[in-house]
Amino acid sequence: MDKEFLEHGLNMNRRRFLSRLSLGLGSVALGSLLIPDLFGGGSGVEEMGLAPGIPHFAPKAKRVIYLFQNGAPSQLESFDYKPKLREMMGQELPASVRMGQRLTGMTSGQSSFPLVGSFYDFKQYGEARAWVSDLFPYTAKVVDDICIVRSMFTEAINHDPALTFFQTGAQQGNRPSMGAWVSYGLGSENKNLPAFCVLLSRGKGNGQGVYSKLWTNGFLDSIHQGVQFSSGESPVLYLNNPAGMDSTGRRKMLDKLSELNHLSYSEFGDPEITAKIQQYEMAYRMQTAVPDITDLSKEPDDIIKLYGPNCLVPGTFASNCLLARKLSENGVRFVQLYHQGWDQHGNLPREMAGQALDVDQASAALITDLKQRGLLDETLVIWGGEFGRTNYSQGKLSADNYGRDHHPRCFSIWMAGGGVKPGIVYGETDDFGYNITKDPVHVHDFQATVMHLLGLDHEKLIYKHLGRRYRLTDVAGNVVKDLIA
Amino acid sequence: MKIKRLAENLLLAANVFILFILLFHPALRLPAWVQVTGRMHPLLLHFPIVLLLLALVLDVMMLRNAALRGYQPLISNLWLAGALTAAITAISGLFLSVEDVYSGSMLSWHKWTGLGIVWLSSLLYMLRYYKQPIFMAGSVLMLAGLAMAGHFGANLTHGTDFLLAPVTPPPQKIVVPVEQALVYEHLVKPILEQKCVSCHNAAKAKGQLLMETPAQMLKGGKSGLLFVAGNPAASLMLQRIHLPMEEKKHMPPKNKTQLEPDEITILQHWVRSGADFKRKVTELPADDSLYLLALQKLAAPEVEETYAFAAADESTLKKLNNNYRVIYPVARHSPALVVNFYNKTQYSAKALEELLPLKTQVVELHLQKMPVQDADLAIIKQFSNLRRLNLDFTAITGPTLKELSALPHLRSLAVSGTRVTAAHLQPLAASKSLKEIYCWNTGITGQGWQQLAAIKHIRFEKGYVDDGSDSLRLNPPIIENEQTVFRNSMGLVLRHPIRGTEIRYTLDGSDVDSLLSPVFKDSLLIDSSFTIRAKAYKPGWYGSAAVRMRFMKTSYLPDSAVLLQPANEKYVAEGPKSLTDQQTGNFEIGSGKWMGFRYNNMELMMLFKQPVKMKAVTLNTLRLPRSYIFPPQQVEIWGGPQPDQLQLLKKVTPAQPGQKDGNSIIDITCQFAEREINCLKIVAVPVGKLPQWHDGKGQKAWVFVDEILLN
Repeated sequence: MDKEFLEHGLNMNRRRFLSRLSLGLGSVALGSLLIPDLFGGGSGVEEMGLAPGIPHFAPKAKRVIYLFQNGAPSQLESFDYKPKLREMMGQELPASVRMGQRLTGMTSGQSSFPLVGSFYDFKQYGEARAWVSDLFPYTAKVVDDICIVRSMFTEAINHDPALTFFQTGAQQGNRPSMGAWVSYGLGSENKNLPAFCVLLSRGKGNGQGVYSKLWTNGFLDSIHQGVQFSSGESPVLYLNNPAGMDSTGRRKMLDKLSELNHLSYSEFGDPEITAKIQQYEMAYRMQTAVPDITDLSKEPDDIIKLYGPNCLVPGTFASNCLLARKLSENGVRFVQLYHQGWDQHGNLPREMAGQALDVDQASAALITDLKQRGLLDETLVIWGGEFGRTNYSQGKLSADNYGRDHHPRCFSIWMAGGGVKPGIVYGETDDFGYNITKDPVHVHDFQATVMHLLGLDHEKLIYKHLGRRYRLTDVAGNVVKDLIA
Repeated sequence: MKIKRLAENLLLAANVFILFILLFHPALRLPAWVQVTGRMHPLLLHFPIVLLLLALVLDVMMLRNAALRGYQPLISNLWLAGALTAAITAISGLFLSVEDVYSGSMLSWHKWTGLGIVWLSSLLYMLRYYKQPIFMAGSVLMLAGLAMAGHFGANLTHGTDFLLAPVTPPPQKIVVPVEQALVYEHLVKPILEQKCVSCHNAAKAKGQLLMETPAQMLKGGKSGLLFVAGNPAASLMLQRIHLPMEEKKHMPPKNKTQLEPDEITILQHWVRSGADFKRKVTELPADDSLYLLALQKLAAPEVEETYAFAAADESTLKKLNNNYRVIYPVARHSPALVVNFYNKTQYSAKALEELLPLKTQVVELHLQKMPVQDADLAIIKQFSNLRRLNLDFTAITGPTLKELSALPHLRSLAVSGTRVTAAHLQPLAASKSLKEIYCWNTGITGQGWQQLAAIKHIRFEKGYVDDGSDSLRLNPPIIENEQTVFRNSMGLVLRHPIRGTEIRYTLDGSDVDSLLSPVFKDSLLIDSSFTIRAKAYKPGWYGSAAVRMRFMKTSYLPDSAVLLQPANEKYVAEGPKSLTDQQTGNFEIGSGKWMGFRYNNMELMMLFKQPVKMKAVTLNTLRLPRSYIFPPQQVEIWGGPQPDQLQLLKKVTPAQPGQKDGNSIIDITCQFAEREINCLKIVAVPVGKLPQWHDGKGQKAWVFVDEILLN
């Protein structure tokens, strides 16, 4: 035996060792065949995540238009019909329903919680026989194209954290907004426009502000930040040529500047320099693309009637909807609208009617308009606020006046197009409209579903920052398969 | 040696025992503990395989290398151990087969190959030192036996398709239109095939039940008939299905894939409705739950599209991709491409032609708003895998559209906003793949729509057309002038965002008449205070609500102004000058336009270097009762040649709001006999005690002033 060991040792010369080693390497190579992604990607930024710019799997939706109803519209006067609340008008909210769940500081001091039914009647529409309140006659007409989710719930109870949660997946802020994630994940379709645009409007109802942190790029590259389009003469700030500079002059200047930048790049090799060159070029292309898109004067008369006369009044929700369609049609991945004024702590019947009048026709028009252009299939439209409102009255309850406080435990939103099942009503709440009884959808589930529709796996679209991997849905969220066509 | 002899004896005994079991197999009744031995068969079988293989390999090595002869006894022992464990395994297998869990041809094959191994290995052990060629031939035979018995055994436990499942393509779900579907064939049978037949087939025949054909189903198995038509409760199949999971007789067995609730419902309803093998789905009543389930099950499954073509060359892609022609894959690892065109000045037929190297890969082409010509469709036609084509608002007129029916995969076509007519679209009916055509805002007439409606397999999207039935109220005109105070004269400009709207107006504050009031044109020059009311009109719309605004004229500007008593520190505006700057405020009290007083009167002194002729002084004040802002209780106008020679020109007591009055901006005018003055003093006294109905009753009110007009 000893002799054999000795022989073995003597035979193991360098050549043999190396040739055996090659066998070992071969087996490693063989093993690696079983891990398809082993040698793909893995470069710094996109570590573990998939290469940004291309969907992970075939998407149903290519673009999103999010009609955010800022301030939280009441589900009880819109899409969640609760006849029981009318029957029990003025009676106390049973403790067995509330189950000691927290209230905001605005009503926790109330000695009584009188139930209040909708001031407005509901009717059933469409093949799904969905209940829609009389405040939304136009939405009722397109009910077969939309999917109403009545079982949304969130974790936050006040506007800012709830809004931030909806937009960024976390309540505290500093994380990238949904549109920024989409821009990061899918890139921009049209290189002449930003991938993420933001449009603001304001109703007459009690309002809450919106802040640019809602469309922030967070820790993602600043190219993914939402670009706010304003309603004035210069929709995109600092885009127009300054007085005395014409387009030819601008072109000449950029060409010279680019020459200098290239020189400097060949000297230093800093990639930031080429990035800068590209940014100048994009801004130049935007100078042509943006005026063309923001000019609504060429829209045909049918379109004006479809969206309602306010669609030509800059800064209104209707006008923003029309603009959103034009942006989306031109390849903007994510158009985020905010309509403010939905915070009806008091005067709900009057204020909500005004708010609904602002948004109803134009929201429905957007769906019809996308549909008639063959774009609804590839565009996801979302309508909804950051939470719901209480089934009891905040403040004094009278026959024609009441208010509702914040209610995170159930609320309604709707989605349309982009691979969402049309004409369905998803989820149920109890007879009091207080708790969800069937198919709850958490904000993270909603976000996961939106990402899924866009062909993005919400668990794989991640970004490493400060030593931690982040994603829109944080550490939660399940795709709601039942909502997907 | 003693052990070896013992083992040899055991081997002989085992062989005899095996023969015995084989002879009396049908009559055997096994005690429980023997059943346990039987169930150890899947464990024991590994020993003979390994031991016999090892022995064989060593034998072969010994043949080639004489030096290994010294291992002869060891190899011999291995043969013995192998044969003995083979025999024990066979015995346990026979015990297991008595339990009647398995039956059918697969079992027979397994049994006899297994027994073959036992006998052959026993024989080979004994004949080890006989003729070598015979020994080797026997060994090879046994090796084959080992492979076969192992394979059949594995098939018994895991099913016949287990081994090759990863490389066999999954069976394509055949979609049968509901009209042609049969209840048994297309609803019941697929369930049986998935969940039952893997055991109840001719090869395995567990419980002597076969479920592959209707005849077999009717025959039933060892425990009797499978079902009683019309009576699910009395049917063995459903009884077994409904047994609790832990019951031994629950079907499908615990470790197999269970039936879905839907599937149980289908089986149950099928038996209840008579277990008919020929019935059509359409013969079921429309509200029957089986019918509703059938609709769901038979709906075409949504499968992610797979593409059979190869991906395009990376460098071609890179070359063709630019800022106005964006090419990207449908998804990661997908060879299919989407192409979007942007900016109509960058489009040309050539730009389209350049894409032809990708003609196999492009599945979506988005050309909306590009000046695509009719002739360009000849290029598009070559993209043989096209699924979606968007030609909205292009320059096409329609005659060449028919060529697109040659595209075998085209599903969706959009031609909204073009001059296409129904006649141009009709030839597309020849396409088998087209599902939808978007043709809003085209040249299609009422009659055209009727013709298109006859093409059933394509959905034509008509979109929204204003047929006049939807009468909406116009929004009011917009007054472009932002400032409501002017000196001498002003040009009034009214505008309406919607083209072709007519604006009618009045200047005296009276109501606007849709026929009699004058129509606004371009601009109006006005030289005295006025209240404009204007409404917009357009055919097909309801007239708008009125827009109303008051414009006020001021004639003089003081050379200096000073406040004798200070304004409240929070509402100082920009000093007394701002009261004559022709800038008015709105309801935002913090806008910097309003000057507020609460604990003292407003006392304003104005001086003119040259004497002016004055006959009226107007204070523009704010009324926000809920914010404690009321009109002044009293206004006094003093005038004269010098500050110390002032006379009271006018004293006014403005009307105070009642409980119901809301927010308003009110101008309070004090008129007096015309007088030449160099110095003017204006005193406004805040309400000292808020009225009883007010939340702050008894407290002092505010006075807010933003402008003073001198005429």
